Amino acid sequence: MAGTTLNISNRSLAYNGAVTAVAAVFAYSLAIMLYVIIRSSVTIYNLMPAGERSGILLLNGFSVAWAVAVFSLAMALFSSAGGAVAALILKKSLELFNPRFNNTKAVVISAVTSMALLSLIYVLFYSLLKAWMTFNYMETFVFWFLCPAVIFLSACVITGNKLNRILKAIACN
Amino acid sequence: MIYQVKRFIKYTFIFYILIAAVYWAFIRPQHINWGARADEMKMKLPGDDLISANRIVSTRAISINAAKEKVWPWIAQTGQNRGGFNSYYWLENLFAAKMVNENSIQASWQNPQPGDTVYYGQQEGYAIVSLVKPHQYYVLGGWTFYLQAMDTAATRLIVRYPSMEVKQSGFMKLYYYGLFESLHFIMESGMMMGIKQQAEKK
Repeated sequence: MAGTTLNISNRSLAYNGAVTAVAAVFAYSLAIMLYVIIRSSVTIYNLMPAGERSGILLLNGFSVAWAVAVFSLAMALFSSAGGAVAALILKKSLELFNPRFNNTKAVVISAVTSMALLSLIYVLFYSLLKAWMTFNYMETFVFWFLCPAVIFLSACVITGNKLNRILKAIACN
Repeated sequence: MIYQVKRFIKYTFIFYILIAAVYWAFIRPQHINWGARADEMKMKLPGDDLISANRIVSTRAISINAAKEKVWPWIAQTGQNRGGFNSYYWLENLFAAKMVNENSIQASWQNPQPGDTVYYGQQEGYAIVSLVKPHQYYVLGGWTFYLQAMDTAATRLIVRYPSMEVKQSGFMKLYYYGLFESLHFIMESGMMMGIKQQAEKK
């Protein structure tokens, strides 16, 4: 995540964490955009007569794309702050619990750190949203929690592994 | 790796700008009155008196190959606490609406009365039925569903929706133009097509 430089400041680390978070939000948003466009288009295709299809397919597709783009930009703003903080916490955790820069240990530490951060985010959202935050329905659970959590966990593990290698290179230098 | 990540963000951002340009230049002017003819846009509907003068109003219409009497039951049972909205239930359920689209006409929901509560989703907002005339119109607040017979076997469903007050704060405008308006079009057009499908089925 941080290039090949042997000198990594907290500022550049936070910046790279923010960039990674924005990219993750965009990637997830594009996947959602594609899913909603395809699923609603199939419904429209089956409902509307041939002569009336193309117009509504275009209107629907671009309306979905516009709404998802706006929502993802708003989410990217919040997530960039989260990504910056997560990257700094990840670095501190690696320095603290993995002084020998073991790669396997780095992956485990990154996974545990990301799960701890996810729990914290969950508690924060729950205290804000309370009854509005419900996982009673599979769709809600998968869309709002499971997929973002898997993306966050993967990003933390990949980032932690890379960061560990950089820290090791700096220590060896 | 960070270079590729930055490049991905840049291209996604350019893609979003293109979407915005197409949406504002071509899509929004069309979806605001999707399917409606000029006379239908100007037509006075029963719920119009409930709409304040400074609102952004959309009028949409669809032709249904069925008599008014076959279309009406699907409108009469509208609501999350009734027969659903005949729209994209799976999209509504991503927001925990707990929406189920009833696939048959339920007698217990066929007599909506002014004052009845119609929910948009579980634990979400609701509207009160304002005006009802069976086989003719159904008004929720100012949201009007109007049926006009084309002949004995075809009907125009005209839907008028009063959304935001024109004078609003910057944040509300951002919410309205950025999210609400396009999402409402997606769901409302989905609902109109869903009603068409139900009414036309044998």
